[in-house]
Amino acid sequence: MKNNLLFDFTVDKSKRAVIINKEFDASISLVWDAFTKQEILDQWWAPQPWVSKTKFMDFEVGGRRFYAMVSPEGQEHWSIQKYTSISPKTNFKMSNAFADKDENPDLPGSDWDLSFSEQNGTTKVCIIIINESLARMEKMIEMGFQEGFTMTLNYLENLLAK
Amino acid sequence: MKTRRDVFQAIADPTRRAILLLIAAQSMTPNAIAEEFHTSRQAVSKHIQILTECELVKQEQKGREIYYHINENKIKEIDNWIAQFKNILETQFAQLDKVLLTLKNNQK
Repeated sequence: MKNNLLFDFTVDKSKRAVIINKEFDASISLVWDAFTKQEILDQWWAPQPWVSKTKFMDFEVGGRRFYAMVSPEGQEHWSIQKYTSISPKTNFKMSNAFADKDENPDLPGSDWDLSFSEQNGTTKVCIIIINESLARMEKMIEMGFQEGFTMTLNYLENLLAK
Repeated sequence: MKTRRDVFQAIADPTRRAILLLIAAQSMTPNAIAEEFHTSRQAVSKHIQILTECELVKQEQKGREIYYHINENKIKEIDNWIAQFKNILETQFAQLDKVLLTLKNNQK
């Protein structure tokens, strides 16, 4: 596998946006499939030890994916993604909201914009996530994941300067 | 009804970020802070008020003067959730890297 693949993560506080750029050592077709096909998504979408379980997924404009993140103890956190725009192998947009097990969304959610491009066999994905509120973002993190890092003043300064 | 301000709004503004950096080094009076900026005292005071509302800064009375200092706990909170979010993504992407490798090998 190639090293030095880009992974950058920036937070634009004024827009409540998180911008992620990530390169993958694979063709655009594979990466596109990995983001848009249920059986591949479920293999990586949930951070271990959580597991992603997709109940249904209609990857088309207006279609939805209803899935859960399942904890090792069997606790389920459901979410609904609704596809709002699709340009094959280039870009898709979706709205994302937490939900209960009966598909009732817990609004507000976040809007996701994913762009794909390939150069020399490396595929770059740019993901822009816009959250309705800081509280929403905090909830996203509360979902049973790991403790964060310790703060350093330098890091804080970088963070604030962005 | 007045809604509570969001921490993001508070640090979205460059003047407010500058104020935070100033008082991160040492606690300061409102006058001392205002002297560091070219804008009016009222404008600076409004910025301090917003930072206080979000609990990013705390005030302390020392004799006749009020001193502002940074609320490290609140700032740690912001930092923690951003770092945690990044952590989650790193895990997800490492998993995706593996999945892609498997898919590539299957194609061969």
